Amino acid sequence: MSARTRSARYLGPARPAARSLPDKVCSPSEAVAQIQDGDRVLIGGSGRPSYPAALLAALLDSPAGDLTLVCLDAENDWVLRLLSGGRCRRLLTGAAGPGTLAAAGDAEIETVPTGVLLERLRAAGAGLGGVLVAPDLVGAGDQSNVTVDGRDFVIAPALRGDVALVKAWRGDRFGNLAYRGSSAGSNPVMATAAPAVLAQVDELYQIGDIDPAAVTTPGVMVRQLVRDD
Amino acid sequence: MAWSAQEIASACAAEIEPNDVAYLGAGLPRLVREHLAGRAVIAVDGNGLVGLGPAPRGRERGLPPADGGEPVTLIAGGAMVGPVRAAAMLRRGWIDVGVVEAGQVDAAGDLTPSEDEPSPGHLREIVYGVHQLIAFLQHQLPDGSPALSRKLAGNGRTLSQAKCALVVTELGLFRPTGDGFELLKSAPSVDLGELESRTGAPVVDGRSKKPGPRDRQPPAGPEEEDDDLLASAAPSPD
Repeated sequence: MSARTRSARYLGPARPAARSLPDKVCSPSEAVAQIQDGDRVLIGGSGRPSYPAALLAALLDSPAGDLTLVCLDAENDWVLRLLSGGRCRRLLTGAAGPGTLAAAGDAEIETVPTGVLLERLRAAGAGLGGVLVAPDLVGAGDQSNVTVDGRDFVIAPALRGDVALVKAWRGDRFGNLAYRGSSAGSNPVMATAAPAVLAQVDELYQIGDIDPAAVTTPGVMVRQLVRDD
Repeated sequence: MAWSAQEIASACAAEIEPNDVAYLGAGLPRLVREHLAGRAVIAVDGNGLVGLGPAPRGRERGLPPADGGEPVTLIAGGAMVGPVRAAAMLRRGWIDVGVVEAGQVDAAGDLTPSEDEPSPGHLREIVYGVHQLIAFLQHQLPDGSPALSRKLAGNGRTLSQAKCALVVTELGLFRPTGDGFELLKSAPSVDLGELESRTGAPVVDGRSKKPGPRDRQPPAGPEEEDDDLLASAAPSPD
């Protein structure tokens, strides 16, 4: 397998740490048991193959409620069912279609331009307080409060989650994640912006069998890992 | 007899707890990676290498030289995420302990960059981001005055977040206590009287004491280790 041969030359002869790095693989229901009432949950993906489907299905089966959900595109089965089931207090999304509005019930829906949403998440993941955006982008009219190089901006505050559910292409048992195709969209950003990252991978590898240069999310940032069955 | 650079690095490595994520600053702290074998410590550097291993030996091929230095290796399970993500991990609070070269430290745990520090700005980011610091320094300044003092002047160079949990010099390993330093380990045939005369603050001998929080033995079972990692890998929520 190419991942193995490409990475092998980087490794020291004894590879001492491999045995002692923890194995974080668990079942989807064990993973989502981390999610508590009132949590802000970041949901990676946009378009069906890029969602962490097994984690979302387990979240639907879990008792957690009063959630704040953050996702790029709310028009998917899982988010709609969380909404219609009254599990969601608030939804921040880049795209809320008619299905979302119909399912919303009492939930508060806030739409944010997708790019601004991603930048706010990225800022949180980078330990920054927010990003500066043009007032028109966030409907702030002429309420700018910062001027840079003669242009007016408002602060779009960092958006930090309690838990992130993400989908990756490859992962090793320690939690190193590599993305490909549509999973490389919002998932890597979501995986930086919450202290508890729960990841679902298409292909699960032993520790050390993923090319280190292909890793986008280092394993230290991932709390638990499930395989897509 | 004073410790060599490798002995200082070894004394430092022994203080990093299993499952900690440790950020190794430029210069001497990079030697710490030679002494982490089997310790399940994830060493990170400013180039975004996560899981630094020892320098390549023999015919083993390492990664290309990083920041003008020597080639490095990664442990199995390592990753290369680049300097932008490395700095983001720092600021975001993923790093448990930073190992840095300092010029001076004080009993409160504040420090100044060393005189030949090429990028004191980056040191500022490390000090801001990590939960605790281990500082490497020469026990005396070039002019012979002590580098360990009771209180550093609050000039523009002092980084006063009081994050130094430990200080390692060629003479020993110390813990800043607020009004002085506690000697935890000493280089061979260094006595307390000599140390006191070369240190700008009171030194108490803690060498015979029971292990402190940073001297803990590795947890026994793999389950417990796992829990430890989960706890330490999670920055405190807002």
